[in-house]
Amino acid sequence: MKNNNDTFKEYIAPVVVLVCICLVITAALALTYGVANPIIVKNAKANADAARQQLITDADSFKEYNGKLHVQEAGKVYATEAYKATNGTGVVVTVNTSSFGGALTMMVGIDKSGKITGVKVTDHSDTPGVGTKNWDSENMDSRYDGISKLNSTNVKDGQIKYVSGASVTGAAIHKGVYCALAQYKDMGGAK
Amino acid sequence: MAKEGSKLQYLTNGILKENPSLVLVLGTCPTLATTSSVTNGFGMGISAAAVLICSNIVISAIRKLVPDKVRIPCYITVIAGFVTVVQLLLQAYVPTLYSSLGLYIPLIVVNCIILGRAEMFANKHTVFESALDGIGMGLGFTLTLVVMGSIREILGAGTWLGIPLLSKFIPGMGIFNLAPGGFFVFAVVMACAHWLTRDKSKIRDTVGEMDLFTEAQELKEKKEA
Repeated sequence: MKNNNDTFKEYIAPVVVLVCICLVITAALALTYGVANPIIVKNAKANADAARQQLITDADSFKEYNGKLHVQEAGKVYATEAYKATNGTGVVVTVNTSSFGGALTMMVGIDKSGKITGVKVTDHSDTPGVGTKNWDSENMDSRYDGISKLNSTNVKDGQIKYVSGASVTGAAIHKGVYCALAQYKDMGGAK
Repeated sequence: MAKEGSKLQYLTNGILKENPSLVLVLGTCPTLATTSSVTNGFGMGISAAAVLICSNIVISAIRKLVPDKVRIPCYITVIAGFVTVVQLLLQAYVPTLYSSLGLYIPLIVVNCIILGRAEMFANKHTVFESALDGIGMGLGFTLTLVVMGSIREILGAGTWLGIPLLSKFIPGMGIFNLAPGGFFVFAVVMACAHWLTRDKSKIRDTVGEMDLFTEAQELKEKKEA
């Protein structure tokens, strides 16, 4: 009898307690997710719409492009969605690129003449205050504006200014912009 | 009365005397990493404090049910659960803070302060005492981050909470926004905290300059002899 009691205390009780705690925590998380997720999705959509409008200011509304999306480096740098302005003023390409802290999502606005109107990072896991200098610091957020062709995927080729000490993020953004320009070309422009 | 006094101490200890960052030297990574600005420091402090208070309460409440063998996995599960809840709520209701704190939010799970207080305090004290300890430690941590964030933002960017202060007169010293600046400020703030909490009676017992001088003289005389 005593032996059975020991087995329960030694092996079964710890497992039961841990499983119960996991179940309670899972239920709490499911509840929070149920409350927070619709707001997160709504926020993300509103942010994406606002970002697209900021990049192509002349656009009246946007229509999603359903054709093939460009892949620069499989699994690392690729376009995830592209939106055309319905009045033909430009295109906004969303690109996923591999940066210092993992995936970095960015939007690139390209006008009807093929020139970049802006680059906006919408999601990232890079170091705040270091990698983020690539779009937070002065003049860095507009360094691609007006460019219609990049010479190479290498950020250090001299065409574009980059942040010393945070060049991994800079390189990721550069590749993303290169991918967006390729996507614009594949789509046959803004029309 | 004495008991009430000691309970109040649980609350006040964490602020300076047992400050988690400056005296216990726990959670140094988020302390250094998120204090590049006041807003980030404050956001991190409040998020960690919320997790600390909730986890202290729950861990204290379940302390008699949890077998000693699996206490660490149980504590980590509880802490990770609260961190994920905070992360989801920040993402939904304070998206700007969520995006600026980025990967440091999930890292609260492995913040030594939270597991440290669970192990050192919450599993030995009542729910109320653990809550007081969580509030005190959370306040101490937040206060440290705000002070460090203020110094680093003012010197590094010339602003405080984004309001231009020094930036009108001198350019910001960029090093204060980087890791070395974090260490400089951490060392200075830590030294100040130790100076404020020093035990004066002990200082008299330590070796002073004169003692060292006398010792050196004696050694010299011995050698000469």
